[in-house]
Parts: sequence; structure tokens; C-alpha cells
Amino acid sequence: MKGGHALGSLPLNKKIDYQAALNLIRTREGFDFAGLAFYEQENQVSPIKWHYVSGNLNNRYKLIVLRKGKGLAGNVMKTGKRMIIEDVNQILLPSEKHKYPIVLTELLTAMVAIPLWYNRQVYGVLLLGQRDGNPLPLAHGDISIADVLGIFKEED
Amino acid sequence: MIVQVNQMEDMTELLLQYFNNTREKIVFVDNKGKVIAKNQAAKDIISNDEDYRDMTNVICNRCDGYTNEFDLQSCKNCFLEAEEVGNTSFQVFMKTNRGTIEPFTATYQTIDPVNDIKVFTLQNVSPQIERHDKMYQRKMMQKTISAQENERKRISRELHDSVVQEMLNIDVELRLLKYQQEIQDLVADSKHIEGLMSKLIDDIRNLSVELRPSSLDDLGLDAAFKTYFKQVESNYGMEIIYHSSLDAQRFDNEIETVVYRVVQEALFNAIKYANVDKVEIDLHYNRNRLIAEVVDRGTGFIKTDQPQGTGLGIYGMYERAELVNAEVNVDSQIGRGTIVTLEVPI
Repeated sequence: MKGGHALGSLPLNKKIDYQAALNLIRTREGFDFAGLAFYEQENQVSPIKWHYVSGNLNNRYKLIVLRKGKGLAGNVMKTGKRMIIEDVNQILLPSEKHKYPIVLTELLTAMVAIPLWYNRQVYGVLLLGQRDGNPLPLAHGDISIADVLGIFKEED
Repeated sequence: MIVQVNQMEDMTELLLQYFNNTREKIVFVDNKGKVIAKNQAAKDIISNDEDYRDMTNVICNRCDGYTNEFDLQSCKNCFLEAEEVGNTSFQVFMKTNRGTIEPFTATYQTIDPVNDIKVFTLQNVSPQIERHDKMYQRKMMQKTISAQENERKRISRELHDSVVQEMLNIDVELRLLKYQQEIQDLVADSKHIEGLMSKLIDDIRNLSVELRPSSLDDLGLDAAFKTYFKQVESNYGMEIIYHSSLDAQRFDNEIETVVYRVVQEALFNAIKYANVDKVEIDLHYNRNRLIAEVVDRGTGFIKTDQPQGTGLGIYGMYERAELVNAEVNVDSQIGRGTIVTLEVPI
């Protein structure tokens, strides 16, 4: 494995209109909430924050600071794999829910979290979530980031 | 089985036998509260050799309070005076001649309204109460043990998943470092290791603060709370509006721990259940009382409902408060929010 310092090679943040991409993917795929988490600085030990959201209930996401391995985004950053929770109340114990603050702040009941790979590193996480027990869209297995966030891949 | 009683003598005979042989204590009192008759069983409570002539009410003299909506042993709305209590059975604590205070199921009824004669009956329920207490104790103990085990699991997992993982990561990076020939790569990799190390230090520090903040012992409540609330903000996306008039004022170590833990528990409940984006926390010292308030304007709950969690949290708050003679008051209204107040006498 190689260090995290390769992340800084592209000023990715400036080239893409992430907000527009997020709004588009949320409405097109039929989700209540969408969010994008990135590292604060261009290395994997820096804090992770939710930088863009769409369909949010409040601005609490701005306060949340995660680390690799912590929280929903931190876990996907660490594993580099898609994470699917079809029913929060079945998968997570009440005592575990607080480990995923975005689930609490946005009252999510189902979600898909997709790693955004770039240059052999997980650069960010795309989260798509449902509230009020709305089921995940049937086609959630086929959600593709290729057209809206095409600079990233879902796998290494 | 229904026994048909035709003759009045039979009835009197049966009642007399019942009166003499039952283990239920039966005491008849007149309108002045004087004993006019009692059965053998009642001698445990009211003995023959004592002189009751000057007493206003014999029952009152032996009574240690009854259980009502105010307390376990209360004299408020005394059953000897209140009419409505007498119509049903209730629980009362009586002094026995052995010097113990035991719980009884009692009735207190008027049997002769003209002469105002009342009958007071008692049945000992100590074994049932003891059993009930034991069951409750066992239930709480089980919950406590499982909470303790869960906490250990959490710490163990935290050590395994984050600390050990990160150290392994650093270990591998260091091994690779040996083989770097280019000075540039060497510098870059060292920087990376530096980053990993500082994350590891952060992780361990967070874990340590979570277990017990050293600032609580070294600097006091105010400093410990400030650090903790900052952590809560970033961990849970919750804004904490904190007011304190304590500054660096210090209290007994025991009191500081209780205040810290009770506030922590109340705040954590707000995070988990209240669905709010901010919580107000107020800490002040007033007329020899240290008062902490945790206020959220969230969903609220009904106190008598089955708790959403284990119920151990609130129980723990009361238990902790009792250690320092403090009082916890939980005031919650559906749709309005919850206020938890802790008052510690100093």
C-alpha cells in the first residue's frame, strides 16, 4: 500500500459543479437525501466532512467531523466498498445509530453509500438516503456515477 | 364452594372461629381510635400489656406510613382520616412487637356507621415484597452487567479497530521506509507516517477523554465540559449552547463526577431521541446549590411509557445523583421538549 499523498494531484473540487451533480443524481434516482463527503485536506489522515448535500432537513451536517473508519463516510472511505442499508432499524441497534451522525441528523431510514475512487485512492463518498421508511429504489444496485461524477470510479 | 348459612348462631360461630384462628390481624376501634377488640393474630402489632388509654389513636402509634401516590411510606392524606382510602385495600408499614417494621396489605372500613366503629385488618406481605425487590434488583443487575459488558466490548473494539489497525499501518510504512533510496520519497513517506501518527494520537486521546476526561480532575467542570461539548458538536452535528457562571470554581471530586456524568447522559439522550439541532446547557451556583440544566426543544416523551432504550440511562442519573444527595428532575412534554435539572447541595 502506498501513502495518501497522491491525492493532491488534481484540483478536483474546482472542476466539477458538485452541487448540480448531487441534485441531479438525487432526483433522477428518486432519493430523499444526497450528500458528498470529502477529506478536508488532501491526505487520508485529515478529517472528513460532508461538503455538499441535497434534500437536507437542516445544516447539522456542517458540524459533523469524521475520520477514516468513523461514521458512514469514514467507513466507506476505509473499506472502499459500497455500503447498503435497506432498513436502518433492522441493521443498526439503537445503541449503534449514534455512530452514524448523518443518519440521526437527516433521519435516514435506508441508504446507499458509494465510494468515489480516483487515482487508486478513495477520494470521497456519495451518500443517497431515504426517510420515513421509504424503500430504496428498485434499481439501486445499478446506480451509476459514471455520467454525473464521471471523473471517479466506484472501484479501484 | 358456597356454604349456605341458615341459622344466625352458625354464622356467629363461623365468624368467631375466623376471627380467632385467622392469621389476618383484625382490630376494632371506636370513634376515638381506641381498641375495643382485637384477635390473637393482631397481638404482634398491638400487645395487651401496653397502656393505650391516653393515646388518641392506637393504629397511628404503630403505623409507619402507608404507600400512596406521594411516597412509599407517607402520612399525607392519612387513611385514618381520609374516607376514600378505606374502601379498598392499601399497603401500610407497621411496627411489630419484635421491633421490626413490616409491610402489610390493609383495609380500614366503617362497619357500624351509627357508633362509628371501624375495623382495621392487616395481612403480612413481606415475602411478596421481598420477592418483588429481589426480582427488581436482579433485573437491574442484569442490565448493569450487560451495560458494563457492552462498554468493554466498545473499548475493546475501539482499541482493535482503530488503535491496533493504525499501529499496524505505521509498522508497515516504517518497514517500507528502509528500502527507499530517493531522498524525496523518503521525505514524502516520513510525512505520511507523521500524519498517521498524529491521527493515532488523536484517536487515543479521544478514547481517553470519552472514558474519563483528565481535565475534569485537573481543571474542573467548566473546562471538561467545554472540551466535551466541542467533541459532541463534531461527532454528532449538534450545536451546544453552553452557559456557565462557574469559571474555574472547584467542588468535591465526587460532585464534579456526578454533575459531569448526569449532564453527559441527559445530553446523549437529547442527541439520540429529541431530534433537535441544538441543546442548551446551563451551569450555575446559587445559594449553596450547584444547578445544571440540559434543555432541548425536541420531541419530548411520556415518562411512564416504556423507554425507547434500556431505561438504564435515566435510572443511572437518579442513582448517581443520590450518591451526593442531589436531585434530578426530568420534565418532558410531547412536542415541547425536555428539561433535565440536577440540583446538588454544596
